[in-house]
Amino acid sequence: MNLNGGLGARRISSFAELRVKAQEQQDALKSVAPVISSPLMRAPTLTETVSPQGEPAQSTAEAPRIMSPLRSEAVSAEPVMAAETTTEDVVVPASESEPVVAEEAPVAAPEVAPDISVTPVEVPEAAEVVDAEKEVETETEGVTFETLVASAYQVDAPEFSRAAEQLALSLTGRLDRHAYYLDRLRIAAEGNARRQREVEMFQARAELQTSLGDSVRSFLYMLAGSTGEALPKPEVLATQRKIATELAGYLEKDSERIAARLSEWESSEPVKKGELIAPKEVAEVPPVAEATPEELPKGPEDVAYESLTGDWKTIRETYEEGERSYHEALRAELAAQAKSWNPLKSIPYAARKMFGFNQKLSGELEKRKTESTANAILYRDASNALAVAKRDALMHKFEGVAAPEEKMQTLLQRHERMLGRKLVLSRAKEQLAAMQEAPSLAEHPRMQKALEVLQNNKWKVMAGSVGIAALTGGLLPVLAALGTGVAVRAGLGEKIKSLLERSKNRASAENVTAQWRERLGYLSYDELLATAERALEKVAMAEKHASYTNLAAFGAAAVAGGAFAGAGPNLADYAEHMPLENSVQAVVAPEAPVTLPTPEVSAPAEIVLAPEAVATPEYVPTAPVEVAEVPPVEVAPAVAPLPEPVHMEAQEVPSASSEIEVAPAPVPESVVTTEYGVPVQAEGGYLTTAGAGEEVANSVPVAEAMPVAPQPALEGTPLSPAVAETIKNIETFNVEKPGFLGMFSSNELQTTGGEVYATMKDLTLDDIAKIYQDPVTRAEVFPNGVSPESLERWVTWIQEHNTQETPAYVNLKLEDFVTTVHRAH
Amino acid sequence: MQDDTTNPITDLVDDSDEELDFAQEAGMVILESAITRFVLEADDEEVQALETILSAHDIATDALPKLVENIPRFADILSEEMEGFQKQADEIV
Repeated sequence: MNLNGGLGARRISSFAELRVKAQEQQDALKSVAPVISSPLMRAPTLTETVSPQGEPAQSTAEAPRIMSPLRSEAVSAEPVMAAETTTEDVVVPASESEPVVAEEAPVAAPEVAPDISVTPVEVPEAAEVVDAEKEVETETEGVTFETLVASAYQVDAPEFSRAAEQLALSLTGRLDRHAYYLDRLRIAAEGNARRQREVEMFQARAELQTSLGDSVRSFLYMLAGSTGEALPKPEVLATQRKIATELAGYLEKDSERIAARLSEWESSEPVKKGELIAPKEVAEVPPVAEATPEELPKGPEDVAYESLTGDWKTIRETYEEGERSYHEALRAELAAQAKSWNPLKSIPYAARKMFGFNQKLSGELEKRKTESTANAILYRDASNALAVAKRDALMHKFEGVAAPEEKMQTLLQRHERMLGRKLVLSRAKEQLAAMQEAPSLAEHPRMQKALEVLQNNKWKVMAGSVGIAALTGGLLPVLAALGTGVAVRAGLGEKIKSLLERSKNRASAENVTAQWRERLGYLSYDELLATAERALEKVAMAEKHASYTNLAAFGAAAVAGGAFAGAGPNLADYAEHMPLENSVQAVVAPEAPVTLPTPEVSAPAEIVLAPEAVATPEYVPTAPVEVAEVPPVEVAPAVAPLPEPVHMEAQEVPSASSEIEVAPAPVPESVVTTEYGVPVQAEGGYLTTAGAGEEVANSVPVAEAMPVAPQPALEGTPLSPAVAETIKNIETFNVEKPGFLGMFSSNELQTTGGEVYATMKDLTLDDIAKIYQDPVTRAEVFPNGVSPESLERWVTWIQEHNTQETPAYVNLKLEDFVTTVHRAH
Repeated sequence: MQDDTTNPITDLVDDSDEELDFAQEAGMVILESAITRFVLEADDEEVQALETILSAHDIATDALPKLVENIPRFADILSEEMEGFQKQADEIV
């Protein structure tokens, strides 16, 4: 029995074959549309003339359309596309990255300092552009993409030829727009590794979409020139129509996502040299939610896979129906045989011969069985082809990251074996059930006796041996060897011996039968490949781990409690000159800028960073940007470390002394003095003790009374067990959900499911702070431990992605991170 | 790239447990079919012998060889069922 063979013959095209076919059709296109080889062909870039709508437009009359290098043709302007092209061409200087209205908008100087305000220019917001394009297309002669599709593939309609050409042009326009926005997105992603990775994914999809688009367009041009018998068959037309429609849908969806990313990125990132943005328009764009796995954009590889899936389902249904029909006929014949039985007498030979796996079937039954077997083989082949398509999609999705081809091939072979085994077992079990459930026979004392024997003995223990004997071809000799000495057993192959030993060991475990039953049928096709996809994502995460550590040095040092082992030079300076434990750290209101100690002064000073510096890893301060006018405080070298940061606002910090409670600091009106002479805030901010004039029963020594400035964001309830449990259940890493890519290792997040994004998003700042501060809580959330780098990445991610979307994170800034982590140590 | 020892893909590729699962599950079907056939076709004395051997061997790795050795009809039926199953499987895969 060949249950370990290679892949069977593929009867359905894989995506790889589709791509080959697309290339062939693309070559054919060159002879169909001579304009393709026009010398005017060149790649559109943002340095070229573009329209304010974001389309590559006509820079001169000589070039009706300029094609991307990913596409193979230049198409002359047609009514539909002409309408899509706006009349206001814009010119962008070579040094610029954004289109600028040629005659009215000022062009920024090539060198624009980051803190220089930029004159807004008339740049259409991406999302609006998409809508505008739809409107233009919709209004053009009343022709929409849908009507073009409907007409182009309707070869008995008189205008199908023209509709096919226009549809090809329309697709060209969509591909062009897509390429343009992708270029803009690439620019917006500059300097941000995470964004660049996301752009790369869009780019990879765009290339495949272009390839598929070329195939569709080549078919359309050939269709436009076909007549009579040369016309394609209806089923071919239907398939092509479906592909064209789906491709347009994917392009539209990706374009919307790119537009959303553009809005998000261009509004969040600081102004770069030579880049112009339109703050007003961007500001009106609502924040874009993180994509969920279900919403991930699809590409041509998905088109191919889904197309095959439809065929596969049909074949599977045919197979299942054939099996059902065969077993129904078997049952019917067994029932007919049983009519003559007397349950109290011996079973006639006619019935007996229909039992077991050497059945003597009637001609009709034999025919049904043969047909069903053929369907099973077809189903197996279709499943293998579908697996190949999925493999292709996965290989592309994880191109350059993971998915070692050899392992993927082995995975496919495993899939084939699984499927074959399932097909074999399904039929055998159904046959056995039909026998045992045959009318009259089921009530026969002998049958009941047989079932009793099975039930009362450890037959399940022997099953493994029987199966191994059958599957290895050893049959009875193998079974006999089980009862003989080692010498005989030595004659068995190593594999058989190993299997037998494992079978014996497994049989000794309890509930083995139940486990077998649960695993009946093994992993399904979808389960196996879906599992493979998740595994690949984890591999990808691990591979990208190193590149996702923009702030790792800083975070590692901070989380490590001042160890600064992984810190860069500047942070090492901080560690050397001003360990945080020995500093008096200014704490500001959550909305205020970041405050960090400075190594240049012996007393703490306030370093003010631009707000955007907080959210962008690249803005980790390497030097104080600005020193606020905080009164300098002299601290004696021997000053004792304060247990907590001290609020400095409107209060003079006592001069050098290790005993702060004796410091003669002026006491504001709102502060009362305890019996220990300790100033205590009677109302408002600092302490919650007795009011002014009350006895000092609630007063506390200064070491406890002074420390904590109000940090509303960090106050709250402890981390709830539910939250902790949910975090523990974090499982999915998705490369297309970059926020989670590389944040934690798989070991740190042990796994069984859970909605990652929503859960993390809903965490309160207090929860996060507690995770940082409290080792017990941290261990509760991360039972396997968590690295400082992972925690740091988490905060970085929150700052990058959630400050605009989740109120709980609005106030989370590096100062909180540093403060809370520092306090924890 | 992670080492193979920690690469989750490796776990997916490794189907050794699955192989054993299949052998055991196939064995169950074959054995059940064989015992059913045997009980239906054998005389009472043979069936009693089968029960006795099985009951005496709770650790049943020893039971099968005893059955094969002491009950020729059962050995024949079991052999037929194994061959029939194998033949049927060969038709599909």
